[in-house]
Amino acid sequence: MPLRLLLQLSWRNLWRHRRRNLMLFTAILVAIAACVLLGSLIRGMQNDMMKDAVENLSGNLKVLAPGYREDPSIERAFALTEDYRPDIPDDEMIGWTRRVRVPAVVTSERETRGISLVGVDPGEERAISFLAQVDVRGEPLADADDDRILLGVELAARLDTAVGRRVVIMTQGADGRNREAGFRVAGLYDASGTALEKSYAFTGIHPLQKLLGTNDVTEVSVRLRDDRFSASANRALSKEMGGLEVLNWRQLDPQAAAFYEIADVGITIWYVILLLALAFGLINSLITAVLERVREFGMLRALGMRPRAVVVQVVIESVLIVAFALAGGIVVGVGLVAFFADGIDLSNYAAGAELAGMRSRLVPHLIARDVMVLGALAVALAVFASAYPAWRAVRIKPLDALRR
Amino acid sequence: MPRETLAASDTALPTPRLHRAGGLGLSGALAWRNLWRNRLRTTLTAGGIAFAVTLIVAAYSLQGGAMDAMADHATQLLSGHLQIQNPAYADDPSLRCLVPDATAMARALKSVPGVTAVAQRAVGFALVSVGERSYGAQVMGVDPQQEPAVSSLANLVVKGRYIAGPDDALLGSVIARNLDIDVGDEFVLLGSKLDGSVAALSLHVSGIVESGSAELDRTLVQVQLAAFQDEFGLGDQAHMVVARVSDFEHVGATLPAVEAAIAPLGTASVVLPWQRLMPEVAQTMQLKRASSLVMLSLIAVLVTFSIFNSFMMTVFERTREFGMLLAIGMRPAGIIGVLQIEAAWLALLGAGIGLVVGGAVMTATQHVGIPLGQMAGELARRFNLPDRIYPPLNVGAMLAAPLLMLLATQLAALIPALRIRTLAPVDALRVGA
Repeated sequence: MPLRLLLQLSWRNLWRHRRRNLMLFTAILVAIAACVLLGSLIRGMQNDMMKDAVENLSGNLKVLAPGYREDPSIERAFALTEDYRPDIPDDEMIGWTRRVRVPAVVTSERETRGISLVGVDPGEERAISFLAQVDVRGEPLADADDDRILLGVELAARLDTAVGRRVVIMTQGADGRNREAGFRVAGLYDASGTALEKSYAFTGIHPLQKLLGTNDVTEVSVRLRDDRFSASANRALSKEMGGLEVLNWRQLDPQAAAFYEIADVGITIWYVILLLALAFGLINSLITAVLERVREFGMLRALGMRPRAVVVQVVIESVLIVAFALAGGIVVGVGLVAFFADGIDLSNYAAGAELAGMRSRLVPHLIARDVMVLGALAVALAVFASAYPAWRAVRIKPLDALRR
Repeated sequence: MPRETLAASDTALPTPRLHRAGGLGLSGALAWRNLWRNRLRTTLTAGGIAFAVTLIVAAYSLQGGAMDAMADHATQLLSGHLQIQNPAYADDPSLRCLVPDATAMARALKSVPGVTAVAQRAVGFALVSVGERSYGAQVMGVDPQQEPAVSSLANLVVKGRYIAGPDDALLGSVIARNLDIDVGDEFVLLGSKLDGSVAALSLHVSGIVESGSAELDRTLVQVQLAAFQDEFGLGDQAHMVVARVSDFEHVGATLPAVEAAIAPLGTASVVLPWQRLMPEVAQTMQLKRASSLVMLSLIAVLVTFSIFNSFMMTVFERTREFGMLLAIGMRPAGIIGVLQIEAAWLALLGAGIGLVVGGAVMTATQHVGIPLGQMAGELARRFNLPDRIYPPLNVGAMLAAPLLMLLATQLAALIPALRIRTLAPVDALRVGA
């Protein structure tokens, strides 16, 4: 029996029970739309996590001296020629920078705190780290020779200091001796209350190197256009930087990476659970559709329809309704994603969201591959749900059926 | 008592009530039998309900278990279940913001029923130096006798032992490594006293601790409370009085008693429950609850759709039967009643299966525990979870889920059933004839 005819038959059968099939259609549509929105929310969360991990000074890749991660001191620094430039093509890399990051103690007139002091080149930093995006009260750092200091709002409040005042920085120099120097506060950056604000202070890289008595840097951070260039860029960096560690953001921030991977699995689990919840209704409806048509199937069989064609017809019916609901659900889901394009406000849970690696606005992020996976799962559900009803349809004996 | 005697002795019992009682019993039996006229459909619909109930019970038990484990574990590390602090300390954790009469305060707190452990703590920032190396540290003055009852740090000592004497110090593993010192080595602690002059303590490393929190391991130094109070000029003042209560879930209920107990001391101190001490943990719990509520409602809605569909099919198929019943004088309300009872049986059946399955799975899980695995291990560290969680069965969910499904089923059955009101017996009898 030609497939076209079977399709036509199944299609008309669906319309014989409009109301029942409309309900089924609506249920599947709601589930699919919810899956699309949910999937993009989880992806949005993942995006935030990766962005945070990458922009919070990690970069996609970072070059460190061996041992620096365990003991972040200037003793574990490395030399970099003035004209150094990573051997990564421009169309793969957004930017890169060198930094000096050392533990330090900052003292105001009233308070003392332990921090990480980072010497940066603000021009290079602008393209690649969160420093460009945060609001600064007062002034940002001008250039790599700026000898003022940029503090987090939160840290400044703890220190009870303000823009224009002086703080004293104490840290260990390259020769192992303690150094002390006064820094004027250029500005206060607002990283929306994140832990960064409390623990990172920034100054120009050159004055810091001078204070520490070295020309070395402690890290080179590279921001790529896409994380998929990570492997090749890693190879290029490892080749140039013999003896140094080249780490990707997953290694630098294993907790964020673990969250990221769990979310991957989480999406599929939710898809499967929601689709399973649909399976009961779908099977129910298909079985009823088969049992209502016992005489009809008997007749068709008596007229010479192959058992295989009966099976195909039931499967097509199931796939048809799921396919249409899938299409509708994707349209509605995409609409919902567009509706929430500005993000969902989580500021009431800001601290909790931060702990979970999220920002205070959750912006959904639609990925075509997720929709395809969802589609494949939905079609698989349609086939799975039609298995038993189709078997029931095949078991119908033409003679018995016609006698009813 | 024989039946006749009862009937005879209670002549006031009106006959209509007897009828109605008999009617209800009959309807119940009728509904139950109707349900099994389409075995497959009933099984599948009940299966859907069971699926939803199982999922709700499992999800809430798992989540409740994970959350309680997370929160209680987080409180164990340092913060305790509640703390008494100077009202300004939360916003400005500086040396100046003190709780006066800390010893009296601790004694008053200890007397509150339900409070199992109390410890005073003084906290300050200081510089720890060994030779030319210096790092900033969070120094805690703790009472070595009281402290292990409120904080798990004492059990997390990986080398050496907990502090005992006035020149002992416990260091976080990272700060010890950064300073390049080990158990037995000497170091100097430099800070500023309450009056602004220099405070200096010469200490010995008695133990090294690995808390699992990178922040803490990098900054923690614990010393004896009395030594800290002496050197920093605090007298009998501390920064916090930390307490644990017997039951984590009843921290909130203990607060009024605690406030009443410390009121006679006449200080402006505040009592903060763990939710205020660790807002990020409390908020994560809220966020998780909100998101799982959305997901589970969605599943309940989807299952309701399928129940609705199932009843619509049932009502359609039995149009002739309903016409017959109407023709022989049954009221539409009576038929709707039977259908609603069918729906109730269905919900009870599904919910029963769901409770048994969900309960069995979660009881088994509770015994075996869920290993959080390597991937979740990273998360576990972030949230301070133990390696394996033993989620207790959530009794609330076991009550709420069946009720929810009963309600949904009643609603899903009522809409198609209302058609019967407009059914004309003659037309109905002609259907399918």
